[in-house]
Amino acid sequence: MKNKLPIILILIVIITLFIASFAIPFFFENNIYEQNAALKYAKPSELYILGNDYLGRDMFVRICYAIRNSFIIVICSIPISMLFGIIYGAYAGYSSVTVEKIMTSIMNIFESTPEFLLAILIMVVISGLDIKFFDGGIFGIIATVIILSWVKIARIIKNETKKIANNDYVLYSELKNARFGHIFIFHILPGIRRIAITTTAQKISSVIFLEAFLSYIGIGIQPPNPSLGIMIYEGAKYIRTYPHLLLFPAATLFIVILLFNILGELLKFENKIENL
Amino acid sequence: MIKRIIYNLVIFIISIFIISTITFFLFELVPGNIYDTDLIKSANIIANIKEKYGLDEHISTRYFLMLKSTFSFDFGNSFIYDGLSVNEIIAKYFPISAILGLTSLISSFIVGVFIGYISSNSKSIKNIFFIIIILLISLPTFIIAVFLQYYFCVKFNLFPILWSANWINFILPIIALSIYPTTFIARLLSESIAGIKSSDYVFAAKARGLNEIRIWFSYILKNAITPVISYMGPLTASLLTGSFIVETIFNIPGLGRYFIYSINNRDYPVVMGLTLFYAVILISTNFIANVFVSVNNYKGKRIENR
Repeated sequence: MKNKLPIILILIVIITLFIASFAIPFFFENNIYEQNAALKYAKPSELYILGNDYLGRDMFVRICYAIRNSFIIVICSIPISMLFGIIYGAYAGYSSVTVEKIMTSIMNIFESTPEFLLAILIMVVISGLDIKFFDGGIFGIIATVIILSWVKIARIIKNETKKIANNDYVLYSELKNARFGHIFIFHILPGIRRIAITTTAQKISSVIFLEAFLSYIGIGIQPPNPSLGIMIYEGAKYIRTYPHLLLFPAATLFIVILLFNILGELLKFENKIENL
Repeated sequence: MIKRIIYNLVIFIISIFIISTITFFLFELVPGNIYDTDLIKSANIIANIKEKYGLDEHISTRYFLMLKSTFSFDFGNSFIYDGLSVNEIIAKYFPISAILGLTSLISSFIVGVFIGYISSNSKSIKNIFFIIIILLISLPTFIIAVFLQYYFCVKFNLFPILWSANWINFILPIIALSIYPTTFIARLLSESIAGIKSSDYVFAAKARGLNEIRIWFSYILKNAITPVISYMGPLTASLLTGSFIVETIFNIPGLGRYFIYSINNRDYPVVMGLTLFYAVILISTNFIANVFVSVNNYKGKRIENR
């Protein structure tokens, strides 16, 4: 509780990035897809501050829009998988031995599926199903993230809940015939609050990485919708002649992931959590 | 111990069953077929193809055939390469992926433990390594691989860019693959060493006047290595399976690249076989790591209960 300044600073940077990534594409909507043959591979200039890509599109606006896409995925997937993971983990940690064993076995089965392969399979299926909530493959990534990430959260929460459930105040509530809902809200939730927040911050960077990864191998966000993964893939082709096509998206992805990693580390330090 | 092995075996079989079922029905949902090309127009030919590959049967029949082939680990032949069986594909492409994955595993373990050990010794070194590690963890593997290839193959011309199955071809992919696990292991180890160093039994050992080296190896390192070992299970699997990006960038003819290729081509038996093959690797490495942990350490009990 002593030094919250670094966390606040990082949060301010992230919120600024968040607002900018939504505001800039909103004001320059035409520049996202507009191609300009005269400006192919153009170097950074006053008008286009990060240059133009291989179709003459404005790199700066496209990078902002790509970050916006990443943020949309984070916002839509993380709360759902957190909520499910917390409730599942808390219930598994609190309930009797048999129920806990069954629930743990379900988690074990989920964990024994190779993560990236499952992601690829789900992505291939969902992109084929033609669901149109979000354009260009975003829905598929959201579903993949939710399916993959709740297990890890549930496992951490389960271990934490088990420690809390041994306390006397929980026993006292049980003697007063309190239901699971009551114990969950008044005893378990306050106890797991810190670890849940820290896990969320650490999950965000891995979600952004997963999006870039899937888009990089060509099954995530679909072009012309911009994504940092696609831009890195395209830019790598021109690394010898026009390095700015690769450098700017790669640096952006690095900085965004770094921001969330630093936030996670600071929260971990602040809350004194070891080995997460 | 025996009880745990039996439990793990049951989980193993149930997992294989569930994974194969999920894969089967996911692939039923995927639009597009092997006969979905512009070249084939006639209904007769399509019917013939369907009959040859057994696609004309009812879905339930095919499901049970698939289960049977899963548990005998014989998935028949590839749709795309006629006559090449799935087991032959694994035998042909997996060794390269395995060499790549295992070498990265060993090198990242050694380097990671070394860095973790050094950084636990003094505060300033720990802070420096902490900054380096958090910077490296934020770099995705594909960015590292692209830049490594550009600078060392093209610009400085130190390594050949074409694949020739030579040892020199393995160096850059191994570096690209092992950066993330190295940093992860180093961080894990330095954290757990810091926790154990201040514990009571280390203090007691010092008070008894045991020499420094013995305290380090049999009191601190032996216990601190536990989280690293339990991380080795998933790590082995992810290095053996997750190397397809590095394989694509460095043009390595490994199994991961083949997997993506067969998904895109709807090569159903190959996808089925490779998914299960990967799942078997993942489950068995997890199991081995669990056994190691429980043999090594009293803390194994805690991890077992997880």
